[in-house]
Amino acid sequence: MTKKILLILLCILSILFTGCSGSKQVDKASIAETVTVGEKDGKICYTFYLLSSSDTPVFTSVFADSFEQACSKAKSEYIPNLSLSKLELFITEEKIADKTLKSDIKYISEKPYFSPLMYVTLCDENLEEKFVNDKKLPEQVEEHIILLKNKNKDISLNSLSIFNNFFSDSNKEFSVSYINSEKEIKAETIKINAEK
Amino acid sequence: MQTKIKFPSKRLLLLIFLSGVSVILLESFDLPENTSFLFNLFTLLCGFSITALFFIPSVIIKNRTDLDFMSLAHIKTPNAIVFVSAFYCLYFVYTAEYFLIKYCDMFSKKLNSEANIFAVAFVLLAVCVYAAYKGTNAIARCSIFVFVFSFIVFLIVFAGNISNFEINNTEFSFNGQKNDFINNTSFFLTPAFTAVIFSVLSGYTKNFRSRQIVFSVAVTAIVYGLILFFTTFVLGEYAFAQDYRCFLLSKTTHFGNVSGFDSLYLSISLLTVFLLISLILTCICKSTGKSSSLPIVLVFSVIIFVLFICSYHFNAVKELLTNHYILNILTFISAVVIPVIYLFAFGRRLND
Repeated sequence: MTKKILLILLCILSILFTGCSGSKQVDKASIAETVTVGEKDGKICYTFYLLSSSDTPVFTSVFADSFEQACSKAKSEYIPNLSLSKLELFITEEKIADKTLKSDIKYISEKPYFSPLMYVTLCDENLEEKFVNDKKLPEQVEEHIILLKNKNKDISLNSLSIFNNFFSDSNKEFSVSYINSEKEIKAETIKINAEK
Repeated sequence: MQTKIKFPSKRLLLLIFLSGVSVILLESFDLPENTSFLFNLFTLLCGFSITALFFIPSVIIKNRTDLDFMSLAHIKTPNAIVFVSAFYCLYFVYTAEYFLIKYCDMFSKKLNSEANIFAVAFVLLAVCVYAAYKGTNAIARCSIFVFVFSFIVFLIVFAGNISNFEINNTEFSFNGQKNDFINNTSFFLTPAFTAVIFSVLSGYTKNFRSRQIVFSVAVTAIVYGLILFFTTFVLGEYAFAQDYRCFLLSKTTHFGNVSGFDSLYLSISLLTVFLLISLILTCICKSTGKSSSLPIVLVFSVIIFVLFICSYHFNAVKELLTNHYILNILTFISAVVIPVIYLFAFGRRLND
């Protein structure tokens, strides 16, 4: 009986130990939950929204040509303990999506610490401004995306699905979610071309 | 030579199943991008059919004499046994090295790239030495728990991916080249090393039925087939963006908002590789003519560890030790050629 209990404990411990995958000490880590991609002064700007207990959003903006460059720049210059494994939302401004989205999705898919189920969406140019002031906005955006998913099954919402649409031979055009923040937050669908 | 303590053969078959499954967990599963699902399924069936054939010589020996091949070799050819033992020991060292390197590579790429890989290998080997010292029966009993655990893990991974299905009709065509066929079949033939383990350890088992082998190989093939199916229709092109597709499948597993079951994949990989290397160390013991000997296990573990260090310092050594074509050729010699020679040489005198 003791051996059986030991074996069961071994199985449970092996799960707990492997849970340390890509671990960083929670009190020291800067855990990014959301990344927005926008344009400021003609340059592409990646903003990392970090998990924090404060009432206002904690974020760091990095000017870079791609998400890969932004991540390495953020880690080396601004957020040394940046952890991207809990990233849930990746939002790109629609007007620059043609320039960055495909290469960013490719980078995300190649790195094992990103979740393939991370929500990827496009947005209008006003959303980023609202993100800076409202901490609960990412949560609301996710809720709207989930609601949209229930209405429209053919839409590509996560990095896995968008990657497959970009890089498979069959798809020329596909639907992704679009966050309209003109009056109130609203999720819509928008078609994008896979070849761009 | 033959041990007096026997355990039900179903336990050994469980071990064989788990060892077979460890291949797909630890390998990058590097199937070519231009091959279709049906083509890959066909090569999977070919690979596992050949794997089943690899078991035939040792099953014949087991059925006719109730001995394993190594015991038979010790009885029938006491003068030549040193050469046979040496070859099998070398084969098992190669196999242990093959899986140890694969596991440590996976550990470094997916779990912790900053960990000292030599320390990981050392700790794993130390635990395996202890398990091998306790004997096959103890490892076989562990396999019951690991089997239940792995069953739950696979159930969770497959059930949690059902909602991600995107059936792509083009995958149902039959596309693939001759070279792809050779590459894929060779990959799906890798679990055939379990036939060698069976040929060396089957003497410990009682109540053996040939259909148990067919069942074990068939269940392993079904697990492979399901993983192939899910990687094709859930991951699609994404599967080629990273290595270790089972890891990706565990990451895409989700039940509502609960997602990311990669720690389950990592723990099942650890448990199966632990069983596998422990089993290989007991096979080495058995090949030298002893059922369990700590000095022999220790000596061969040191050899395995030294080779492991060499493989990380010399890339050519690593490539040689992780080549599945070489493993398959050595498996063919160990599981088929040598036992068949004995069967022809002592065919009518096997029971004498």
